Amino acid sequence: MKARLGLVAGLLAVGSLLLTACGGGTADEPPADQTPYRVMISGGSDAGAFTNQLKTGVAAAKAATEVVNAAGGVNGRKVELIESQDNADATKALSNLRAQIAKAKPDAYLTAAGSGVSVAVAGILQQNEIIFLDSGNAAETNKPSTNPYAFHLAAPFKTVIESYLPELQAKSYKKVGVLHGNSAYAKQFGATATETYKAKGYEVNAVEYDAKALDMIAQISALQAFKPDVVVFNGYGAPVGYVLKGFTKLGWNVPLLGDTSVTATPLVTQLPPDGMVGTPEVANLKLEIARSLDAATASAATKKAVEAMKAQGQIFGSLNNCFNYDAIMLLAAAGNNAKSSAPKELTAALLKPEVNANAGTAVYPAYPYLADNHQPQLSADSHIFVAPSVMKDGQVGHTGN
Amino acid sequence: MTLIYAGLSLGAVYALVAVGYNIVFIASHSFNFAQAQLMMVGAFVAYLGYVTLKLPTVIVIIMAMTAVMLVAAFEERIAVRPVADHQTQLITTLGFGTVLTGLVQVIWGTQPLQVPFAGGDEVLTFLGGRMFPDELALVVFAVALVVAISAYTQRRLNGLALVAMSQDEEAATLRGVSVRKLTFAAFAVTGLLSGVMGVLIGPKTYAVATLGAALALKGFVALAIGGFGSMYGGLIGGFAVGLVEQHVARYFGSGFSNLSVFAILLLVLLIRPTGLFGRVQERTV
Repeated sequence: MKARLGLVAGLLAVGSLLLTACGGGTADEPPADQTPYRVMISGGSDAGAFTNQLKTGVAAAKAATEVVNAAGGVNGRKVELIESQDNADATKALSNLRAQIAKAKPDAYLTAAGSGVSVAVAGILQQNEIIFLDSGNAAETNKPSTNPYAFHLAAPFKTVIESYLPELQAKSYKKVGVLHGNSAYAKQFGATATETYKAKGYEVNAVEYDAKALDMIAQISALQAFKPDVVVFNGYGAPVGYVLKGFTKLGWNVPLLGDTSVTATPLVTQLPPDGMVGTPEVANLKLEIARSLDAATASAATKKAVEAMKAQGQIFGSLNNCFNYDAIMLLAAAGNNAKSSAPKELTAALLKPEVNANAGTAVYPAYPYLADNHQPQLSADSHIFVAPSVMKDGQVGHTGN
Repeated sequence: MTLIYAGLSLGAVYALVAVGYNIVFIASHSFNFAQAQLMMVGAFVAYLGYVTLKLPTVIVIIMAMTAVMLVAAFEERIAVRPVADHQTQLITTLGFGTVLTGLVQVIWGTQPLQVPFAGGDEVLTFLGGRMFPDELALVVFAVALVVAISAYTQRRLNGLALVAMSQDEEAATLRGVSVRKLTFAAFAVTGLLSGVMGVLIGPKTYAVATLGAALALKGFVALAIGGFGSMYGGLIGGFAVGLVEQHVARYFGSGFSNLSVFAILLLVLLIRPTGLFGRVQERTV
């Protein structure tokens, strides 16, 4: 009797072990490689001045999702895009992310406007080993030693600032005026520009303006007293208009070089009455753009991306709002190269030049990351300067404009 | 000189906000914190009239005046009249302003829109300084409006009734003044004027949803410096804020600009708590 009881217990134990081994989890959950590759994106439709940026960022991610899924997904896993309706509110974004992790952990995370959300979610993403491709370029997401799964997408300050150097050299400018706003980004722009140009031997004077001010005459007059050969300026929205009007009012015909945020302001890329293209206000202005923003010379990958994004909705502003297209293309390329969608293998693949240079990205042709620096190491000639012209579908220089 | 003109034109914008605050304050002893947003709506209606509908200036002005008057009248009905005390009205009018900002964003978006000026956009040179025609118009309009309103309140029966209400609401009621009607009329007139202000301010500031927030605080400071209830005080306060802001930004940097404006406000309030032209009503009990 004792031996028979032992046999039954043994059979039950073996049976239960076999069932566990064969099941691999709950009965209705598919195996890991068949679950969707979940990409969560901070989105929404009511974020004040950032609304258009958010909408375009989400539309770009949706377009890339369709392209990637049509090509087989991320290492065979179809991409599922989960939009967090947080309107770029950091607290809401964090709460939505926590809820999503509890429900079904995302594999990757994207942002679409500013760096506020990036800063808020960086820690929790790191703890949960979720890949973060950050278009907000927060400082927290470029610390590979502690946060190996986070990468920047936008051009680093170094690139944005150094892109001016060929233009300054070509025109033999010696004295550079820098006019910048008072946001964290704008202050950093002013400080980095001053430091970089001084290091290259230029005489530099930087003047800050209050982005909430309604008139910039005082700041432009202060800069005029320095008598610069050229003025490098940063701004977004109405302040760009106030600055340009200020130069016209003072009758100061100094060459102006606007940074990528100036380019993103519709006021300088639309015809009157909505914009200033062709007016005396922009006669001395040149805009900094990524090469892909020039419709005439854009690559086939960029053209394909623009068509895919147009199908998802209007591209507001410039292609600089479409980094999330590139984010999903990079994830797919890395996953297919690594034959895995595990974060460790995927991030290792992202560091390979042959992977990030052939991912079919739209804004930049490649995102060269280093093991110890997760900002894309773009060359100074990845940006060029063009005269203001009408922007359509995120690009300038369309035939017939 | 260009810097002085810039300060005056900016000051005129603040003064117009202060005038709007003042009209409601005189009539109801309450602040309409949606005043700057009413002017913002005026700027957007001007954009609609000029750019979208391509209407002549006279029609645009009438359209802006009518539209903003209706909005202001609606505000009085839902955000002021049902609320018993003036303190709560500060919150309800602030809320109404926030709603207006949100609605404008939904209708016209978040990017700045150019509002044309009927007087052209060629820069004028005067006494060695340069200014746009719309800036000159702003300064002239602000001064003319204050003179006209002051004359009205001193010489017309309705104007005197308004002043009577501001001094002693109970006594005015006993003398047959309909406080409720006059308060409603004050809001409607403020809306009417805000429509014209929007048409004039739009060419300088653009029609942009953030305009209300940018103007509300400085307009209030202009009013506090000049003295609550004083039209001339609001005008001088506005010009003072504009001139100080521009000169400090020019010679000390924009970081000190707001700081200096509030320092002057503190100084004025320390010396004259009622503002430069405000009056204190003393009673012997």
